[in-house]
Amino acid sequence: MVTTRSAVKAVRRPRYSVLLPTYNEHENIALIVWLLVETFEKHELDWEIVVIDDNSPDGTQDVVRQLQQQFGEDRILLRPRAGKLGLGTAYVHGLKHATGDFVIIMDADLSHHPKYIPDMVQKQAATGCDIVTGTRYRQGGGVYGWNFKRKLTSRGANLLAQTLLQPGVSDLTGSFRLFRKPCLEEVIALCTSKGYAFQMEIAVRAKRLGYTIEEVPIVFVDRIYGASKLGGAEILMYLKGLAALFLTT
Amino acid sequence: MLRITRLACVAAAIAAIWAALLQQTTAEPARTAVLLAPLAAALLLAAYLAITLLVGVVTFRTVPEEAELLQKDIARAKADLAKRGIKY
Repeated sequence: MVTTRSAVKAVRRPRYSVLLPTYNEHENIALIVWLLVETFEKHELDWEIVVIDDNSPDGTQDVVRQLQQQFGEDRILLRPRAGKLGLGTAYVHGLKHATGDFVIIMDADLSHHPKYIPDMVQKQAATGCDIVTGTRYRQGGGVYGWNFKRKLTSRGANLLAQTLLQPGVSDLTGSFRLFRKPCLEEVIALCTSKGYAFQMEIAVRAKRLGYTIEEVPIVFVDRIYGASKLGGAEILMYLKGLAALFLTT
Repeated sequence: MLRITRLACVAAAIAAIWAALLQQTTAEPARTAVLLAPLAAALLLAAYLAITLLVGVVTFRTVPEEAELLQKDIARAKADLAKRGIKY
């Protein structure tokens, strides 16, 4: 008599890879990694963190190595580069080393709090969407540390982009997002913008390719360590990027 | 179809309608109205955008509680990192 053994296929938990491009974040990196680990463990999520450091002179990589000792080299991946090579290529570099099913991009300076990650995970699981983006503009979202002028710039830039591109996403320049890994890989290969327009380009191109985007409200706490960069050059770069997207998508 | 292509088609269609309307209306008050209609539309759009922007800025939520919570989290993190002997 043949006994059939029902093959129980173990359903593996999805893994979440956080990409953290860093430059001179020797203090923040320890804090953000600690908060990320706490969040992932508390919510029983399978995780890894990929730190892409652009050869910081302030010892960021030494701090990461200590964190690796504490939390495991299989969990905290240090994949540095030779110099400051830009955010887009940092993501591409990180993606090559990430082993997760999902990829989370966020700022490493504590303006994005890891506590919103479970909300994003839940949203993705509930809707099956390809991308979850944090939004400062919807109910429940917000900022701290921005004066009237900064709020005006942010809203103005977003309104301009909404009018021209009608992307179906309320916060176009936000950079706190969760992606299914293949989705980000495909979209990022098409992106050419720099600066704030880069995040906008990711969202717009993803939409054009048919990927689905959901939103969760987040509060952005402006940088407590270090100065935020938003000068005339940044604004001009954004407008150029916006014009390019308007004409080519 | 590219967005700009679609917009150009829509703009061309509207321009054609406007030109036809201009040809048809010869009586004075109506003719000036048609002539100025595109300008009026542009001004309305500008006003709408300005108001939307202002409302957006005024209702942009500032959340001091989150900053406080963050400080508390940072304190906890620093304490545990010190215990683990991590120097940064």
